[in-house]
Amino acid sequence: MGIDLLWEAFVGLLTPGNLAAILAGVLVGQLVGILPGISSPAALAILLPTSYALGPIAGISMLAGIWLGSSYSGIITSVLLNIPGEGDSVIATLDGHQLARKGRGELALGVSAFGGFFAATVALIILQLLGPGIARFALLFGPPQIFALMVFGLSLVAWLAGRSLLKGLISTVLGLLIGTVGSDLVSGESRLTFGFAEMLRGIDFVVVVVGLFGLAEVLYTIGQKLETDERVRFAFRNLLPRAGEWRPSISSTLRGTGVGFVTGLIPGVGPTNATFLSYALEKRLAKDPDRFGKGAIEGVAAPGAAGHAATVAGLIPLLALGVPASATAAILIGGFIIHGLFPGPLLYSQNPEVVWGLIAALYLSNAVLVLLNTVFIPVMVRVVDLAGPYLAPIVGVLTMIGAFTIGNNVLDMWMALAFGFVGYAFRRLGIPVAPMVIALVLGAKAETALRQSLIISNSDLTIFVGSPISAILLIAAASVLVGPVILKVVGWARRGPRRHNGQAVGR
Amino acid sequence: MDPGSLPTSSSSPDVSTGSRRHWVRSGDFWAALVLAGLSGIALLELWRSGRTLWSISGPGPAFFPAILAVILLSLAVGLALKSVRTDPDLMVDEPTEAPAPMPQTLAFAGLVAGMIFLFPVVGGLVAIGLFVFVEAMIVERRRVLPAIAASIGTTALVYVLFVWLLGVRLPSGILG
Repeated sequence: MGIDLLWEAFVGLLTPGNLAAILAGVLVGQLVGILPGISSPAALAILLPTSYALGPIAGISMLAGIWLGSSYSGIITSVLLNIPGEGDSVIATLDGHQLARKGRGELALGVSAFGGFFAATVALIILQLLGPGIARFALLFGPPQIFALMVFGLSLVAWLAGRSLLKGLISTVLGLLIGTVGSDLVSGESRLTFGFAEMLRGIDFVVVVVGLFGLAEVLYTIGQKLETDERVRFAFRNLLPRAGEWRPSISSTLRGTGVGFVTGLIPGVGPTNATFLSYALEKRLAKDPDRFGKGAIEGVAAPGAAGHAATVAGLIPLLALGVPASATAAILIGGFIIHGLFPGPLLYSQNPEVVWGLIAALYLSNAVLVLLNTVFIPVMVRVVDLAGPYLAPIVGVLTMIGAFTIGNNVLDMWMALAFGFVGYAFRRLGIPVAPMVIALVLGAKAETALRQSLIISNSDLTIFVGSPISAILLIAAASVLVGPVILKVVGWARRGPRRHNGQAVGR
Repeated sequence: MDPGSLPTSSSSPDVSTGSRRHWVRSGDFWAALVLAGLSGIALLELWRSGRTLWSISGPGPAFFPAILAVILLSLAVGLALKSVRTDPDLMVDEPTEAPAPMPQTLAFAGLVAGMIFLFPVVGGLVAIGLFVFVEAMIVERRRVLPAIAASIGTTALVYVLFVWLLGVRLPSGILG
């Protein structure tokens, strides 16, 4: 169970530097969550370079604290101001804000914070229990199985991250292609450098993500004003449910935890979709679904728990298999890479102090965050008023400094700006960014595994279906990619082409 | 999962969903052209640099990027066909959130480019201060005093966080 290792990790964390890093992470995450102009992947991307200066445990714990913190606090502005700070708190504007308008905003925030604490704790315990076993199992994987796992993970992300499989695939392949720029890992020869010596080190991951997330987000949302006229008064005494509200709150929290945990494990789904799914489930199960959207406590409790459970559950594939389930997780991998570490099965055996240090830091962060999200809510709302108007230039500056610190050169800043435009265009065109970032992280590993497999087998492609694990993973990947197309063709054949304005419609 | 059955974030009323869909449709076509161009350039560069595609020992350094470039080219063709054939009213992949007005976006991007250009010339901290001041005045349309305060505050934040705490050496420029 790793209790001894976890205890050692807790003891190891008790240094002023580590505790300061964790506290800084949760505070930044808290701010990021309540400020609508900046998302948690953007904040992680911007602050990734700052973790250079910290040790691996402190640096990675700080980044994980940002991730968890933003998951907690996004609901504050959703409930009190009807402005979602994060994607996974959008759903809280429906019933949470309605509760606030009835003078019960504290209840929505209290149920969400305590339920979120419970969900994150349960997910951490499961991570602690299952992680080492999954990692040991993954150690049995050779190059063909690793390649098949990467293909499966990327297929799921391409399918689930956006609303168009084609655009998801474009984002994935583009990310893989960008990852091949620079020196070839196997032969050391340069590729796609166009003769520029500066390109030999490849396109840095941090430069890509600060542009795609940080700058693109500002370019897309610049000038949007916060509407704070619907401010609701806040009183601490009403954070807990009243007599008849405990049962629905607890049962919704339990269901939300389950839904969030399972969906959080699947690459591409992520916490935001987990909140929507759990909301839909609660509405489906409710005796009186008409209450939803008008201040139903289940509509706040379940998505709140689901978001937190999904956030932590995403760490299981990340730590045990090296497969990030979301863009935020992919950026967290960047935090590992800059300290010379790569998440995956070997991390548990070669750097257990990092894995258990991270889990211990998350337990601490979770405890601090439940306090911040109940006691300090009025302070956080005040921060929105003060920092909101100046967010765009601050984010612009931090993204550029973040890019500059990679190699102390201005070329990286120009590249970050270019990727800012790419991210902006992707967002306008509905092309998901997450697959590109995840592919960028996994690309080198997938290519190495592919080439090693073909060298081992003397270029015999049947090596990929020679073992049950790789065969199953590749069949699953093919189903993900081809299945929707087949279903569409079957549906088309049954119904005939849909017609719109008298014309047949293709897609 | 059917996203249509689930609530999504609210959109600004000034840019209609219909016009965004038309934007996406024509944007898809141009994006397909750009992607096809990128894959063509990648294939040309791999061919020009003479990197090995396949050798007796197995795949060479050009193998993986070449395959990816070909797949990207196929996807670009698919996107172009989709953009031509799909009725905009039936599109499902348009963004749910309205973008900022284009002049503001371009102004902000131009100012960032200006900051990058000035970064090594006048020094990192001066370039940052100028950027925040001009951005606050032009893009955000704030008054002089708040713009100066934002400029000084952000520059101080960068100095404390990056220069003082993390030891990042920003260029000092002509001002030394």
